[in-house]
Amino acid sequence: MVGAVTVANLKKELEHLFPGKWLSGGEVGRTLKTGVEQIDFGRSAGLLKRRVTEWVGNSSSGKTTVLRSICANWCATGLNVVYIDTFDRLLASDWCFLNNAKDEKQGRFWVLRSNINANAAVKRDYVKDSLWACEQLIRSRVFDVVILDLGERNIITSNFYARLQRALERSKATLIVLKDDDSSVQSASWGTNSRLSFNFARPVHFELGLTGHSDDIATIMPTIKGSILRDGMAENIEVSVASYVQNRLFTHPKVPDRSTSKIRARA
Amino acid sequence: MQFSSSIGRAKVLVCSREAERANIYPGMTFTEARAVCSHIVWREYDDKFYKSAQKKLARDLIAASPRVSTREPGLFYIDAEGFNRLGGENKLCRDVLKLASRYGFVDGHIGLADSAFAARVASRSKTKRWYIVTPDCDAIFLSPLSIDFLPVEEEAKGNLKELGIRTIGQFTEVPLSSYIGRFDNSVLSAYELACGRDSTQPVLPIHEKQYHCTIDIGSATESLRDTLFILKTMLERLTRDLQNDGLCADELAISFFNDNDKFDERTIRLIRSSNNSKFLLDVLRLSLESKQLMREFTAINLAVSRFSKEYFEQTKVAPNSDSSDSREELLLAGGDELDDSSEPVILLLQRFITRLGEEALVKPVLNDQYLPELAGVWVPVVGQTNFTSDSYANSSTPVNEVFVNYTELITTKHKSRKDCLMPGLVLKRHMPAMPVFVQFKEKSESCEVDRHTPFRPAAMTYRGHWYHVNQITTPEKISGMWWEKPVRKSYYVALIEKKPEMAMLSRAGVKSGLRSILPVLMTVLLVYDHQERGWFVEGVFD
Repeated sequence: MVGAVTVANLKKELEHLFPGKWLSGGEVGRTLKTGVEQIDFGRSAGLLKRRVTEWVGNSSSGKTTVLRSICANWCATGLNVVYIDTFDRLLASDWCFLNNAKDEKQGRFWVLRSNINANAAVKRDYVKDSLWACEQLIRSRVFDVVILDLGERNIITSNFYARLQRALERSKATLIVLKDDDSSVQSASWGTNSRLSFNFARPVHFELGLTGHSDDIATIMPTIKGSILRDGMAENIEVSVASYVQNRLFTHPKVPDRSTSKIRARA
Repeated sequence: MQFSSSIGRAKVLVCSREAERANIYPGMTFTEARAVCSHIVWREYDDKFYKSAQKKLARDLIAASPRVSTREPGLFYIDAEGFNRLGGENKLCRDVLKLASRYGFVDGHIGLADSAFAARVASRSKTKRWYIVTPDCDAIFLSPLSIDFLPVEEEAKGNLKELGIRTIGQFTEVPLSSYIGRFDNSVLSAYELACGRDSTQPVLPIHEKQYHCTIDIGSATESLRDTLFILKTMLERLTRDLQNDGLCADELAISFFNDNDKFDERTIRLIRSSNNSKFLLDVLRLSLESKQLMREFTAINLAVSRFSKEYFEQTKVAPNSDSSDSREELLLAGGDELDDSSEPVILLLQRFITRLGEEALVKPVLNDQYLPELAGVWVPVVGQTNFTSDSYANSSTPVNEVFVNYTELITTKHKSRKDCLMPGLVLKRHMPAMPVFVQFKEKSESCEVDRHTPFRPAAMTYRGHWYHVNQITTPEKISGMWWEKPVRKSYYVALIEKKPEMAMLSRAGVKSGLRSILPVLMTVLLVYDHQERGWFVEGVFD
C-alpha cells in the first residue's frame, strides 16, 4: 500500500516536471497540465481536454508570453501544438526555440498564417479561413493543442462554438481561444469551459545596460498577473518572466590584454 | 549547384556563359554569386520538369529524323543515316538547331559521327556549332583528345595519367589485356568507346500515354454538387487507367470551358502521389470551394499532368493495446508522435495547400540575423520536394557564437527550472507599423543615449491616447563598427502607461458605459526610422 502511494506521488511529481504524460486513467484523460504551478495545482487543475479555454487579456498583457512558455513545455513532452495566427502578428524569432529538430521525441509546433501581405491582391475573409482551419485541425486528430488567435476580432458565434465543441468531443485536442479583450469582464463566453485572463502589473523589473547608468536600461520586464475563472469561481495568479539581454545588444568582446603575455615572456 | 547545409553555402558546380559574363564562376558560394549578380535566384532542382521539357523537344525533333532518343537532360541521340540525298548532313544540323532554338535552346551543339560516343565528344567543339567527323574515322578523331573525355571515374583518370597516358590515342595504343585486372569495368568499356565501337543507337520514340479526359455536358452547369458528380466519374476512369499501368498522379490539371471559351484553368499539385479517386475528388472539391468558378461551364477537361510509378510500402504495425509494456513505451515517448507521412497528416496538409496555399502552414526556424524581424524565418511545412526532410531546419543554423550560447543558455535554463518561463516577452507586430507622435524630454548629457536621437521620448500617442513613457531601453548597439554609419532604424522597448488625466477620462468613460480596450500599462516596440525621420510603433509585447 505504501509502495503504491509512493509510486502515485512519484507520478504526480513527474507529471509536474513533464506535464501531460504521467498521470494515468481519468486524470490524464480529462486535463492537460501546463507546467505552470499556479494553473496546474490551483482551482483549474490544468486545462480541460476536449474543451474550449479562453485566454484573454489586453493587447499588451503578457498572455501570449505565458502561453509560449506553456507551449514550450508541451512540445518538450512530445505534444503537438498548432497556432492559428489570423493576422500574421507573430515573429518567427520568438518561437523558433520550440522546434528542436535534433530531438525526435519533441512535439511539433506549427503556425498557420494568413499571409496577408502575400495575398494582398486576393480578397479573402481571413477570420473565416481561420475558423475553417481551426475546425479542420481539430477534426484531423493530429494535434493535442490548437490555439486560435483572433486578435481583437472576437466574432465566434455561439453556433460556431457548438460546431467546435462537437469537433472537440471526437478528438483529443484542447482548444485555446486567444483574445485581445478587456480583462475586466468577469464571465466566460458562451461555449467556453474556463477563462484565463492576464495583464501587466507592477512591480516592473529592469536590467541595466553595460554602462550601469540608471538611464541605460537593457530590458524591461513587467510582472504578469492573471486570474482563472472556472465554474463561476475565480482565482488570482501571478507569474514572473525571466529577462534576457537581446542578442543585438551584445557589444564587442573585450580587447585582449596583450601586456600579460609580454610579462610572462620576460619572466 | 552543390547543396550544402545551407543555401548560402551551396557551391556553384557549373555555370552557363551568361553566368560567366555576370562574373559567376564554379567554386563560388551562392552568397558570393549573389553579391556579384543580384538577379540570381535560387530554385529547387526539378528533375521531372527537365525530363518533360526534353520529351517535348524530342517529339518535335522527330520532324528532322525518325529515330530520336533522349539520354540525360540536354542530350539527344538522332539517327543521321541516309541524309546525303535529303540535303546533306549540314542541312540536318541546321534544321535541328533551328528546331531547338524555337524552344529557347539557342546554344545547342551538334556532333555527327559513326558512333554515339564520338558524336558526343564532337558536340563539345568550342569553335563550331556542329562538327562532322569523317566517316570511318572515329578512332582517328578521338586519338589526339584528352582522356578527360572518357566516361571513367576521376581516380581512374588520375591513375592513367600517372602511367603517362594522357590522350585517348595513348590509351588505345596499350592492348586491352593490359587493363584487365588492373582497372575496373568502366575503364574496359571506355576502351571500346575510344576505339570507336559504341553499340548505342537512337531508337524509335516510345509513345507516352497521356491521361486526360473531357466531358462536354451540352448545357450550362454551375452547381458544385453536379460538378463533383461529373468529376467523380472522370476521376474513376482516370484512376482505373493509372492503376492498370501501375502509376500514381502527382499533379492534376483541370480546365473549365464555356462553349469554346476556356475561362478557368488550375493546376493542383499533390503532396503525395495517389491513384485513389476519393482522395483526388476531395482535393478537387477543396480547390473549387476555395476558389469558386467565375461563371457556369459547359465542358470540363481533366488531365493528370504529372504521374509517377506507384510504390508499395510496408504498413506500420500498431502496438498491441493490451500489452502494458507497449503502453508504457508510448507514455514515455510522449504520446502520439506526429508522423508526417501518416494518412491524417497528408490529408490535412493537402486540404490546407489547396485552400490556403503552400505557405500557410509553417514552422519557425532560426536565422543568422540580428534584427528581430529577421532573426527567425517561417518555413513552410510542405517543402518543395519532400516535406518530411529537415533540410530547412539545417539550412539556417546560427553561426554567431553569441547566439548559439544564448540558445543553449535558455534551453538549459528552461529544462532545469520547472517553473521558469521562457525569457523575454512575445512581440506581436503591427502590419504596417503605426506612426506615432512622440514628446521628448529636455536634452541633458546623461540622457543622451544615441547621437541620432539625442532626446529621450517622454510621452507618445498610441491609438488616439497619450501615454507617458515610464521606462525606455537604450537603442540597439550592433557590434562590428556599424555605428560609424547611420543605421536605418533604432529600436526601443518602451514601458508606457496612460497619462493620469487620460486615466481619469478612461474611468469616466467606463462609468458612462464606454469601454476602453487599451490597457493602462503597455510594453511596445518603439522605432525611430532614420530615413523617414519618424517614430513608429512596430508592435506590442504581449
